[in-house]
Amino acid sequence: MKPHAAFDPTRRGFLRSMVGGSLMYPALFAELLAQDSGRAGLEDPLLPRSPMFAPKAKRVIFLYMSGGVSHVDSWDPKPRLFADAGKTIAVDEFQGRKGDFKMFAKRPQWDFARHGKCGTEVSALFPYMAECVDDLCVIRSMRSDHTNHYEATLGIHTGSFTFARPSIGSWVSYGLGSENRNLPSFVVIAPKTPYAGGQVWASDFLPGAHQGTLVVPGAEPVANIRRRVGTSALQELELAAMAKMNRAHLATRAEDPLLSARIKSFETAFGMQMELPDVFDLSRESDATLQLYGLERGSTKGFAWQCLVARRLAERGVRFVELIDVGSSDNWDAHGDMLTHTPLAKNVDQAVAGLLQDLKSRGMLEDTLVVWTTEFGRTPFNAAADAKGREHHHWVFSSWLAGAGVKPGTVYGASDDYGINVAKDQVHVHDFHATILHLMGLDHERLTYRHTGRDYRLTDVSGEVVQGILA
Amino acid sequence: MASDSRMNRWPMMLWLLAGSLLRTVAEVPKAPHWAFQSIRHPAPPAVTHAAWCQTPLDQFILARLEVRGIQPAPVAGRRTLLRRVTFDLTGLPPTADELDAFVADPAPDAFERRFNRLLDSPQYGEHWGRHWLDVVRYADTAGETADYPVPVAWRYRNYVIDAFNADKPYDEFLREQIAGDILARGGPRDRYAERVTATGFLAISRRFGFDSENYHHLTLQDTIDTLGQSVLGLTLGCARCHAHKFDPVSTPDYYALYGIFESTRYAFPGSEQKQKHRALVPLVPPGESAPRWREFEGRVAALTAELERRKSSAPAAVLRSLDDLDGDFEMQAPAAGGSKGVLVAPWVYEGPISVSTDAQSPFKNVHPGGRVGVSIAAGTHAYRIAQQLNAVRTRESGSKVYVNLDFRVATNTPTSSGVHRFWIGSGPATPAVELLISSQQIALRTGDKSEVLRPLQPNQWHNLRLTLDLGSSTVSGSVGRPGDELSFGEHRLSTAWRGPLDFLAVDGTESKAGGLPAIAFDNLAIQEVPIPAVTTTPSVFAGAGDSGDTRALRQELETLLAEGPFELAYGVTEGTPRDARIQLRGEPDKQGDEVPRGFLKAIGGGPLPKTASGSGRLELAEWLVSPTNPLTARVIVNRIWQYHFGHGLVRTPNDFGLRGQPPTDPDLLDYLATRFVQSGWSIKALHRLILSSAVYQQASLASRPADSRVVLESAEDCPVVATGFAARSRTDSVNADDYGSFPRRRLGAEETRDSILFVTGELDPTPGHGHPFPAPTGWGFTQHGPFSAVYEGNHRSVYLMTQRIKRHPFLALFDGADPNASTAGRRTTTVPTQALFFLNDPFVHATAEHLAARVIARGEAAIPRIRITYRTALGRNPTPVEQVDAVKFLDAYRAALVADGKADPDRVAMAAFTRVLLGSNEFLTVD
Repeated sequence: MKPHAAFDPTRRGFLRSMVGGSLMYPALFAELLAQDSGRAGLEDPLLPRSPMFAPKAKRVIFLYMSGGVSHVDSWDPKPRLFADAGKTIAVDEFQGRKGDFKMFAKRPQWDFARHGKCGTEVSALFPYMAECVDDLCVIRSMRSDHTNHYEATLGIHTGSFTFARPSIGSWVSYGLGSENRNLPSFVVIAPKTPYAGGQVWASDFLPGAHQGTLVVPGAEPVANIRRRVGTSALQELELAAMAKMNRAHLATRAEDPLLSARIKSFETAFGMQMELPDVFDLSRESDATLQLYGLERGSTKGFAWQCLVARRLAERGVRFVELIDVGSSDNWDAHGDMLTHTPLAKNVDQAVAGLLQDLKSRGMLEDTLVVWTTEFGRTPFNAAADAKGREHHHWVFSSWLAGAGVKPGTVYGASDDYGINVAKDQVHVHDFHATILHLMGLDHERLTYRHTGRDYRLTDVSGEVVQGILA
Repeated sequence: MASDSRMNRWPMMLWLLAGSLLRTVAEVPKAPHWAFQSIRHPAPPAVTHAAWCQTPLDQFILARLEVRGIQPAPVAGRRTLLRRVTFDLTGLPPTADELDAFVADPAPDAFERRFNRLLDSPQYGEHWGRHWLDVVRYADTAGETADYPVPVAWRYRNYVIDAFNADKPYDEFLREQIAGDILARGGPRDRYAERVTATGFLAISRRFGFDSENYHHLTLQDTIDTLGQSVLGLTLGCARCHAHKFDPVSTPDYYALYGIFESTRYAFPGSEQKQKHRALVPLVPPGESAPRWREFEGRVAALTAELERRKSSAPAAVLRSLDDLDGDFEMQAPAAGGSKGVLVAPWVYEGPISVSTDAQSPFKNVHPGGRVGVSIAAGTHAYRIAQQLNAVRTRESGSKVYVNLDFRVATNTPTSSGVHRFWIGSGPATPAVELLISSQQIALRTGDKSEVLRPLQPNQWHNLRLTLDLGSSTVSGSVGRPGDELSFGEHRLSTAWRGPLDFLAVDGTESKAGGLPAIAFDNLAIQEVPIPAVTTTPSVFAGAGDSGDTRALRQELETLLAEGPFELAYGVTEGTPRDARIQLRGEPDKQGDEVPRGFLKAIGGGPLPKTASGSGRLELAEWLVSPTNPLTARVIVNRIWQYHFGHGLVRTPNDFGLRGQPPTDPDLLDYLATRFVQSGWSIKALHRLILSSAVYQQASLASRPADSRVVLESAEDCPVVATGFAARSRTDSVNADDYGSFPRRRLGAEETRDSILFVTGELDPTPGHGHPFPAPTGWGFTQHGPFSAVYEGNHRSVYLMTQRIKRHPFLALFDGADPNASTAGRRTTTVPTQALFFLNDPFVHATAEHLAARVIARGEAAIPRIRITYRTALGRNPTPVEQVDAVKFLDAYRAALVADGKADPDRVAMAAFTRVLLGSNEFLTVD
């Protein structure tokens, strides 16, 4: 557990002269902490908690690609689809409608090749990530329940395809608390709003402390993180004055955690205000590191910035970091033309590969789980023979896991010859979630929360840990 | 929390084990669950220290405290008490002057006069209405994938606020919210709008999917879930898919309720697939709405025609007609994402029908922009499509009704033949006029008389237009194709039909092996202005840029279309009454047995009475508020108690079922429920009872094992020491359920924001109305570009626009209500991002600066300024120590600013000082 950020000691004399007495803000805080130790009652929801069993991963970096990445153009090679392109395929459902449809097989846009020592095939869409396959467990048998973006996006984040429920990041925060009290336990870096909006990182019925803190790349990445008064000295004056008032208020009341928790929160906020900008300050990152991610010095744009900041958050003990590449429009939803995948892949490919390599070189990949996913794949076929794009396809798609506790350099599961259905070892979204929680030392069946008379969990009433993925 | 849930398993397992042993060892006859038993009328128990008691309910509390040997807390100080009751009733702080006056008021009824004044203030409804809005998951948007705005939802919000202010009896409040549209028809006229508005309770049900009409079953589930939790304290949702695991709610019970709401027509908010709202409910009675519709339609038609003449563009109609039939069937259009492409309520249908693009009529005289219609395949043996009409017309009304229908009938196959029928009349089976359509010809039938109108061209679209003159009981019209229309003169309407005109249907039966010939229907319309002749060009042209008065014309049309002919509400009306079929495992495609509409059997409900003629909502409302219903009164008095004391006598206010917690004091709960019903379901009377109690007026102690030290809030307080009790022991455990002191609480999200606005003088105390949403004529929200906005304003926070898929940032940060599901009680979480709000948010800075500027503008010296700021923000004078500290703070702050060469150091320092007060625990907690 990282110590709380402390005030600059050179301020102490200044502060003492200003507010009088010895009411140093940090000292006061230490006193409060001592008073609170061992107290029952209003427990801090973000206190670090032990996992249910020995975890493989201490933290998760969850990379979500918005709009539906085509599996047959990226991670799932389908020679038959190349060979039979233009031929007709009969399917009994299309875009959620049942019926007998005659569809045309569509040739993948990018060629596949073997990579790494393991020889996992990846398409030319992701040349950088392809070089990382020896660290990945590529899942080619993912399955979702819905063919629409909103529902599928909600599903991959909350396990619920219809109703708002807590996000996976909130569940992990609820299960394990935060390692660093100066930072939130669950951080979401998203330049734009995804499908289903804030529900994607909402804590819903879990306590609000577990909601994702939204980071939007730009001048003020987190709401109110920028000090609005001119100098830190001024703000410390305010904090000291408020702390003194609050302590006097508390002193005339029997001790009450409701009051002391709030006093503490200002200390943490102060720490967060110091530490979060530090997280976003990439000036001390070496040129080599920036190059690894493909990030131009000074730029806050693109997935490269998100990935590098994710590493810095992970280093500081943030439990769950989610990166969303783009929003609910101009994304991977390539109905019109598969070539729209190109710039999106370019945005994430080198950055993700850089993140994996960076984590690895720092020894962090051993206890960090990296998840790469999307909400569904895209149809291997189309209604028209000359269609350039692909439609939504949730029957099978691809994701991958890397890092702590994951069998590296492997492929798990398979789709059928055309990539239409799961052929082997289905990994439903619930199984996917169960496995992520398992790697964090949490049993998805026991991580529950009582709400409206029922014990809710991330995986609803199903889901199994996928043993074949575990190292 | 992981470790806890693991630990909690043991008692649960033991309990299960014990339960199973009990059941196997001896079949113990089980009394019904406490909450399903009738409400008892317990007398207040005897107590030793009777002098402490101010009201009978104190006896209940004290009896328990005496048994446990606990002394109640002393009476709260006067400042504390007035601050408590002011926040409690209005969500706002008292002013310093009010506090001073109360401290100085020796009258025995001083407190009573204060709380009565607060109960009478409009701020009361704004605060307590918000509690109800939490429970009914109020939002200003629909919640489907594009989160369509609902511009008139605010009317329901304000209805709730007004109802609390008026102390509308709770039974009436419920009746109106469930069946206000039905009650409204019975008069009086001046309550019509209010009652219709009340049905917003049902209409604000969450919408799902990107074509939410096709997910209407989930919306109905949301209605039933919310109704169950809010009114009955029962979670009914589980029974949608399977018999409730814990509560005696069966799947048939669920679908008995489902049928009632399926027979109800919900206002439609718009969705990605259908980007216009419709079926909004007029706030004027039919007798007044019809002529205003006629006038409205006439003006719209004239404007559209004029714009058309000028080759200019006219916006597409937002509101279709008074009947709002959705006769172009666009609402049912199949689409990606699981849409079925079948008709949805209020349409009812039987047989193999489908909605498809090949059934789109080419004619555009009534619905210009359609894509689909209804088709019946060749060989169908029987089908029926029907709808109860929204606007009921009678012979007495004497109105003329204009009907349009496009159809295309196929050639007979070697085997298929037979006749399709379109009829209009009174439901469910009395036609005033019937049109019989075969492959060869169309005939008109009224009663026993039948007359062939003309031959038909198979596989070609035809248009039928009827004029029904209800006054003279005649029908005339025309039928044909463009350039080949045949008019027919007046025929008497069927003598079997006695009025009203409230139903229409298309049906057909053919028992012969080959079944009926294929047919397609589209563009069904009923209106009270004549229907233009059939055309294949849309009545709206996309034109070049407008200028001058053309633009003015279009503006007038847009305003008309956006606002409608009269005020509208987001409410419900009666649909087509029918019983629902069970949906196996909750899947609407897998239909089981039909279940008669009715109410929960476990709490004395049965089938809908035979006398019920409509959906059954009115009967449902009456059943909910009947004296024999054991839950309704208990659930609401528990809520009222909870909002006063921080937690309910039943700790699970939305769950009185077997999985909920039993009441900590069942007698007190029933006593309150009984008094409540006897008072005429008056919530304000219950407030008065509670506020007058000694329990309510206790001081706040810590909620953990505490010492007996009772600290006074200030020297100005003079607590009355309770007499006759032994000193409180240092080891007494104060259990919150004993109510042996008053629980301290943090201000809620709205209270926090409102208090900051109030003390800094920035609050606009007038009621809020609608929000500045974009005009409906321009809506095109999709899941890729959903509606998303935050509207600022200085009205009270209850009037903030609250969205479903994206929460209001302030309300989300401070534990505001969940706009997607019933919020039974707010949680109080403490997170550093809240502290960051007080340190850095522009709202806090701006309001503090406003107050500082005002204080400084009074031109006083430092000490008076500090005094004024303390009094304004905290309602009290600073202590001498605080005053010294404040001077030091201001000097230091100012000196630092001056050293940095900052402008206006006085004001900036004063604003900083104000922020310190606004961020303090004293400001944000209520003792």
